Amino acid sequence: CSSRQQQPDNTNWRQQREKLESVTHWTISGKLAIITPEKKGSVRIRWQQNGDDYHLNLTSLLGTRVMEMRKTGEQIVIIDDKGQEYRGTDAEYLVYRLTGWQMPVYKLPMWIKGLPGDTDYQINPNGQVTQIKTAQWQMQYQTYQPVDGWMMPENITFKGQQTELRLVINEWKLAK
Amino acid sequence: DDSAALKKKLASFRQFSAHFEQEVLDAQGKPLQKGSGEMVLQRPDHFRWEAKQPDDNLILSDGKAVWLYDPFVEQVTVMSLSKAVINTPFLLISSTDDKIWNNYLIDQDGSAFTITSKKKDQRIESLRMVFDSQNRISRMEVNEAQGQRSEFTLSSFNTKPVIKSDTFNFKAPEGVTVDDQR
Repeated sequence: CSSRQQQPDNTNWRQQREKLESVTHWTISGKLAIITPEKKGSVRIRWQQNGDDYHLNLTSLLGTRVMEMRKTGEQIVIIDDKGQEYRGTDAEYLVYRLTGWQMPVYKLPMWIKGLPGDTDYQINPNGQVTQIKTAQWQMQYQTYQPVDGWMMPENITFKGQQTELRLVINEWKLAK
Repeated sequence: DDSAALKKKLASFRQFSAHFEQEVLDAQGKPLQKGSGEMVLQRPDHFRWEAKQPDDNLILSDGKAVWLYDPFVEQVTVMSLSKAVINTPFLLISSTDDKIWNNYLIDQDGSAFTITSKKKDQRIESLRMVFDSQNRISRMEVNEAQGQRSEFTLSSFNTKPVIKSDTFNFKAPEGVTVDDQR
């Protein structure tokens, strides 16, 4: 497997990466399976990214709120399924304390787009990331889907130490 | 309190099936999730809710327990009917148990009824049900604490649905995990 250092010069990947880095305002909606040793379940997800800020909504199959999280600058606000609000600056800690889920919240905005950042990754001949690896997480990009002439991830699995996430993106919206 | 009026309307049909469209809106009124599927309801306490879009899952009440089948994680969650009623407004409609109905205040405004939970810590703040001229439920809104809202529109209403033996009975497919919360 070729890792980041000897990455072949793949023009497709260079164009894909430039595009992904230029996309700073986007929205995805789909479903997210969350599997831990004790429990598994799935939620509907909508993630709205606006530059460095985001608004995440996790909704149950019945349509009720499971969790909502909003980042504005340094401030994180989380609303739980009873409408209780929690504030802080460490998103991953807040999510873990509230739900028991380990979620790579800081990196998700990049990984959802299929952008590896400065870590090990693999790409296919079309210049799409197929795998990203860090010390804590391993991502597999099973499928991509066409969005406004670009190929964006559709089916991603995230394997962490205690938590596995499976994201299926039904809809991408890329801000013009 | 207008509970007598609502109960009379609900008692006027023993069972119905319908197509449903569901839209979940966030506190700012922006769409979070859209879905659709088929439902069957039989009073008391029997209910089948088969979502087809965006993906299929099933919520089913056999009169004693409620089964939430989620093929995406190959799991069925089983809850007691009383616990499930709180989160599943349609189960409230199928209930003829005054003990459950007494937890709610009911206010009629023409063909619309607003149902508010007397207990404050409920996840669902209020429920609004609109009947059409033929006494059929045409719309329902579920309002949650902190503004998230779910809007249901019912159509193809059929008061003589075909009820088969397995309509209200769940059989877990091979390899499905059972998360029994009773």
